[in-house]
Amino acid sequence: MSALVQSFIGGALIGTAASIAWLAHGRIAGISGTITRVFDGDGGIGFRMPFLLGLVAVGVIAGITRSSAIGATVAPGGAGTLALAGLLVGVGSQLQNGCTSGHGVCGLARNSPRSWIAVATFMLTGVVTVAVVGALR
Amino acid sequence: MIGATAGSPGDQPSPGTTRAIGVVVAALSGLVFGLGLIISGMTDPSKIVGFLDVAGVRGHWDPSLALVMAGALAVHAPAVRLVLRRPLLANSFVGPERSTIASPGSAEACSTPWGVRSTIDRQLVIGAVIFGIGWGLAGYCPGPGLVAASARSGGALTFVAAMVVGLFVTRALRRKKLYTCCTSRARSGSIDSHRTGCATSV
Repeated sequence: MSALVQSFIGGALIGTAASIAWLAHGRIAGISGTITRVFDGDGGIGFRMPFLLGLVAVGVIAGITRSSAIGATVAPGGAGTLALAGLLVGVGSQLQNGCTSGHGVCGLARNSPRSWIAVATFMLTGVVTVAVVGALR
Repeated sequence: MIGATAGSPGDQPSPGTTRAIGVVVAALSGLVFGLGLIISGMTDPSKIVGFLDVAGVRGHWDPSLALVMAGALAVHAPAVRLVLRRPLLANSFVGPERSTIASPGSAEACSTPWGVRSTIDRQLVIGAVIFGIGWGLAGYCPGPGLVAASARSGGALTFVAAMVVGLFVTRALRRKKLYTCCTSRARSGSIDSHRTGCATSV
């Protein structure tokens, strides 16, 4: 199967999961918000915790059975860079109130102006970051 | 005869049953989501970086992740346009833009930690700038990072640990700022300035 077809099918599964969350629970399947509000009274136990457990379960199973499908880190500079990247992604997600899933999938599907701005902006700075890192190595 | 048709009150499952079904469906949704992330290649940082490498500094540009978004939107965009009176297993839809739930500037909107979410503000853009830099550095975003960390990919564990710190610390700081904003506006007694003040500072 070509990488493009596989990407599309994977994307369709992500869209299906987001649709289940919306139509059954009336919830946005945004990962950063789901993590941050996992202990909140409003939907924490009923939706966010089991959703994240499902996500984690897939990762655990994939790690045991097909770890090559997960890929490995490519960050230059090892753990320090990964920690910095994680911190930036955490702070950024919280400030923009969403991440690739919340804005990129759910927000764009709803044609939210905020999400269009967010996605265009983080794509742009992502492209610039990769170009700068590539030029420095 | 009418009383025997499906959907009469006697046929409704108990609240406990609905809750249990809800938990299973939520877990299923997470499973399908994670599977989609793995199959699409989102959990592989080299694919993310390859997609962001429009300039081609690392080799040739890999456009396949655009197809992930296309696939997700092909399913989800029609789904959010279905008109349902309420979700199948919950009482109401919880949108990201609280203006649909509480009117902007109302005491209710101010009292939620998320405030009003329909305006393009500075925090949205600054957040997106910061997010993109982190995403480009490691090639992970929150969902794929969590899946890769669960698969015990060492780099992803470090990434997720730092990400969780970033999420919760920023949330705590924003909540404090919102609270200060709302109480000072409430004291001045002006709903209008309270509206603009809260909407732009959160």
